Amino acid sequence: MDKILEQEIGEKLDQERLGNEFARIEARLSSLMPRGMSDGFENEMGSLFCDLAEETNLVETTERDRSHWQGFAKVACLTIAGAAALTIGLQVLKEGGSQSPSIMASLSPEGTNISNQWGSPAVDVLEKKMWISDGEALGVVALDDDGHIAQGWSYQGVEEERVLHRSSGYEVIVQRPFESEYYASTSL
Amino acid sequence: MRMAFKTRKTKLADEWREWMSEEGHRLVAYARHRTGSQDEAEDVVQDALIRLWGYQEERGHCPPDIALAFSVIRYVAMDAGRKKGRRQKGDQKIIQLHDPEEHWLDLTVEQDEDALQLRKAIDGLSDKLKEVIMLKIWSGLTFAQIGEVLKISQNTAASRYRYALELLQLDLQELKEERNG
Repeated sequence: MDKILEQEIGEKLDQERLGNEFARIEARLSSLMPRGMSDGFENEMGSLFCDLAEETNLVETTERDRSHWQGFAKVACLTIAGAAALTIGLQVLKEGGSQSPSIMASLSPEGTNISNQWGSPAVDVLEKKMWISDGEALGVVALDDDGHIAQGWSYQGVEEERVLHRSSGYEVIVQRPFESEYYASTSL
Repeated sequence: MRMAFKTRKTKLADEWREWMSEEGHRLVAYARHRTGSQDEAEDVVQDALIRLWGYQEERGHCPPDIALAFSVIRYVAMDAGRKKGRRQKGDQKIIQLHDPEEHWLDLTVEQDEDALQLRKAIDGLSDKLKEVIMLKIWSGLTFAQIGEVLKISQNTAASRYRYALELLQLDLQELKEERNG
C-alpha cells in the first residue's frame, strides 16, 4: 500500500516537474518571437485595402439602410398578416369552397363588397422573388467530430410572391421572412 | 448616396488596416515560417489578403476570422512552395524555421546561448511539430483554431504540441549535458 502511494506521489511530482519544465520552455520559446511585417509592407497593404475597397461594388448595409430595413420590416410584418388572410381567401375561392364573409370583408377595398366580384377562383402567380436582407458570419465552425470544418453564415431573407386574381384584377404581394444558414468549405 | 458609398468604402479600408495592424505581424511570421524568406512571406500574405477580401464578399467584405486568415495563408504558401519546388526542381522543406542570413529570429536574443540551443532543438523537430509550436506560441492561436487551420482535431493539435515540448525538453537536457561535459 505504501509502495503504491509512494509511486503515485512520485508520478505526481514527475508530472509537476514536467509541467514546470514545459512552462519554462514555453516562456523561452515566446522570447524567440519571429520577425513580423516590415513598416513598408504595412503601408503597402494599407494602399491595397484602399484599392480593393474602391474597386468593390458594395451592397450598402449602412446604419441608414439598416434602419430603413427595420422600418420596412415592421411594415412588412403588418402587411404579411393581411396578405396571409388574403391568401387564405384566395385559396378558398380557388378550391371553390364556401366563401367566408369575414375574409371577404377584410379584403374589401373602400367598402366595396368584392365577394360578388370574385366569381372566378383562378389565381396566377405573376412573380416570385427572394432576397437576403441581413446576415452575420458564424466564423469557421466544426461540422462533425472528424475535424471537418466550414465557414458559416447565418442569414435572413424574404420570399415574395406577387399573385393576380384574374377576374377581379387584384394583385397581392405575399412576403414570407425566413432564416437559414450557409456553409462553405474553407479548403481553397 | 454617393457620399454614403465613399464613406462606407473608406470605413472598410480603415477596418482592414486596423485589422492588419493588429494581426499582420503574426500572419507574416507564420507565412515566413512556411516560406523561409521575408520577401516570399509578404508576397504570400498579400496574395492571401486579396483572396480573403473576395471570400468576405458575402459578409460585406469585413475583415476575416483569424483562423480563416491563417488557413488561407497556409494554402497560398503551400501553393507557392509547390510552384517554387517545380521551378527549382529540387526537394525543399516547406517549413523553415529560420534563415541565418535573413535573421529570422530576434538578433538580440540570438546572442543568448540558451536561445541558440533552443533553436537547435527546434530545428530537430519535424515540420508538423514545428508548425504547431509556431501557431501556438508565436501566433497565439488556441488548439481549436490550430485544428481549424491544419484541418486536424483540437486534441491532435494539443497532442502534437505536448509531444513537441517533450522532445524539446529532452533535446535541451541532452545539449545541456553535452555542454557541461
